[in-house]
Amino acid sequence: MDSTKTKQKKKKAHEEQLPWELIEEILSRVPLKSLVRLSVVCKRWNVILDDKRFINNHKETFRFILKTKTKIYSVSIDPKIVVRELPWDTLALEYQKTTKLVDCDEFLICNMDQGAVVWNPCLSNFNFSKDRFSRFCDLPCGMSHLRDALVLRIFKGDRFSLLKQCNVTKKTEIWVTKNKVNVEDSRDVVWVNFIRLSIPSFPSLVPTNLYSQQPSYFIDDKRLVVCSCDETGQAWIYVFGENRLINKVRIDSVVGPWPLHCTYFPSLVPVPRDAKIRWTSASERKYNSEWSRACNREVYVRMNKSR
Amino acid sequence: MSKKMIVLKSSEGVSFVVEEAVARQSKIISFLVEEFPDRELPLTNMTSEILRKTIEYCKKHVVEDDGGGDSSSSSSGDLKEWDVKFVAEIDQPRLMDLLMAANYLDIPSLLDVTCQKVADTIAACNDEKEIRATFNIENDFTEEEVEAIRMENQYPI
Repeated sequence: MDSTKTKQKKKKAHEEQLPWELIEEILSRVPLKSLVRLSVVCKRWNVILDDKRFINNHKETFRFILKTKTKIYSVSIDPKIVVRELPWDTLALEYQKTTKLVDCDEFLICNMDQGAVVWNPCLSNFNFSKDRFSRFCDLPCGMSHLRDALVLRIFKGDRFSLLKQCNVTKKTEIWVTKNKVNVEDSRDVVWVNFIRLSIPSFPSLVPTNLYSQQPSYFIDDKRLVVCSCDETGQAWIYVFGENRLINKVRIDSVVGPWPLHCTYFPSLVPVPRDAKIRWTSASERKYNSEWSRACNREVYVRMNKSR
Repeated sequence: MSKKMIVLKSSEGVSFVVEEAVARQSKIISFLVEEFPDRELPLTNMTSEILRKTIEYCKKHVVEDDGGGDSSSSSSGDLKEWDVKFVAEIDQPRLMDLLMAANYLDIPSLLDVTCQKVADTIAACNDEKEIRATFNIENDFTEEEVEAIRMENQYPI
């Protein structure tokens, strides 16, 4: 007689909806590669997967990418340093010589002999593009020695940070820009000293002239995490905080010396089919899509309008 | 030396007599036995079947303090293997119940292994339809919405 009532059978515990936090617990253990297709399962899952915090707390989340000639690895930092080999099924990449890895927003850019590949290592889709840089502003300091470390990065989404290490004294500093960076107007760029580390027996971040790849790094809170190769070509992860070295780990599982490395936080954002269109719209939204580099005491940024 | 025992009572009223050290892997029980001297804890939302499974897990994972040198009853490699087998033998609905029990009683290691097992099952599913069927999830998307998400993600169907 009451059709709705007969349909609603008494639910057992396992048929009840799982609490939100338990769904997150479960999904954060699903391998990264299997995650993207889960967004169409139901609305709750979609909302969880869409949240950037979720991917940052995922059990396989990582902070660095290392690439040798034939393999690519991710390096997780918290709660402990873990290296995982990433699936390398983008055939086109294997046959091209990668000269540099750069992270840009949600994507990874592999500079090739000809052009570059825009890639999301979690999803393994990619796109080709070319870049052009224009001079933007001055740096707070420059290189006094060939083996000084000098690395520019985006900081907090809309600012620059700069890591500088003097190869003679090993004194290491992090500079950040005080205000948001306006790519159209570089006049109000003010650099402030953010972290200054003078630690005895500080490792040299550019230990040799031969392969002078600059270190990769990121800052969270007051902690500085650096990836760089030692003089034998072995990659190391260093974690600094409160003017001391908290942790250092040699990445032994990486096969082959002198891997390319870069900072990269995983994301589930797929590479758009036409990457140029995305970059234009991203630049209107905010400026963290600009990839930038430091050279000769100056900051260079990629200008969208140049193409 | 006699060991301290406590009684856990399932939703059906069945009593399980357990060593306190075993039950204390649950942070909730650990808290309760310290705060209340009561030796009998009613667990009204846990069936006997799930409570038995939970106790089986805790017995295997108990770390004995008085043993001296070798504190754990099994090596960590053996334990991992045992865990895998333990969750593999449980069917899907009961695994979800056990996961909820681990969450309710606050047993982090059991929550971890059950969540991992569910995550592996999700990853092994061929498509979203299979996932929904396996976990009794209602599809609350319209076809247009699914299509829109697919377009946004642009992953091969």
